[in-house]
Amino acid sequence: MNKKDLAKQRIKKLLKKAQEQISKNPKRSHRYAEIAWKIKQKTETKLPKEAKLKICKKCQNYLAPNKTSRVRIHRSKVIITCKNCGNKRRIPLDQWPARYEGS
Amino acid sequence: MKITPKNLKKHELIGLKAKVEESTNKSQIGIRGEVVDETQKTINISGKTISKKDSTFIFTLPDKKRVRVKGEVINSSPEERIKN
Repeated sequence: MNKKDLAKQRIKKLLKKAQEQISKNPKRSHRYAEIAWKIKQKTETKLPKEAKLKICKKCQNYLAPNKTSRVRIHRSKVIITCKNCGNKRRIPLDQWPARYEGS
Repeated sequence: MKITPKNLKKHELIGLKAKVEESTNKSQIGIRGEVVDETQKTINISGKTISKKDSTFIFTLPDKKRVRVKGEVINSSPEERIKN
């Protein structure tokens, strides 16, 4: 099996687990997001668009709307703010992914 | 690309059900539960931290197979295990 395919599978599974735990145990979600980030870094894989918006680039926290992040629209751009470190991420509205599960 | 007994040592252990079969620490034999976290030298099963090197585990895969794994095989951090 290819290393990158394995990495993608592991990252997907970890982020899914992080989404399940965000209400009860947010620290564990942040830990899973950190492991996913490290796997991505070490194997040099690219994340799909939905997964990119779920991990903060600066502090590797898991971003869930209304719980650990703030999602707003301003001048046709979507702005995601991490509540932990304040890092912002701007994306044009027409590049917004069709599936963005959250809170 | 499912989890098979052959690629288990490179795959994700968090989320699988596990049981400690043997250990040099006798009070840890028989701990069972779900794998919650993993570090370079330890593994956390349902809130209890167990050293990897001194123990043997039995993991239950999603297709109901059971695999016995010695601790030395998985004795590295999760991001290093995928490399070899």
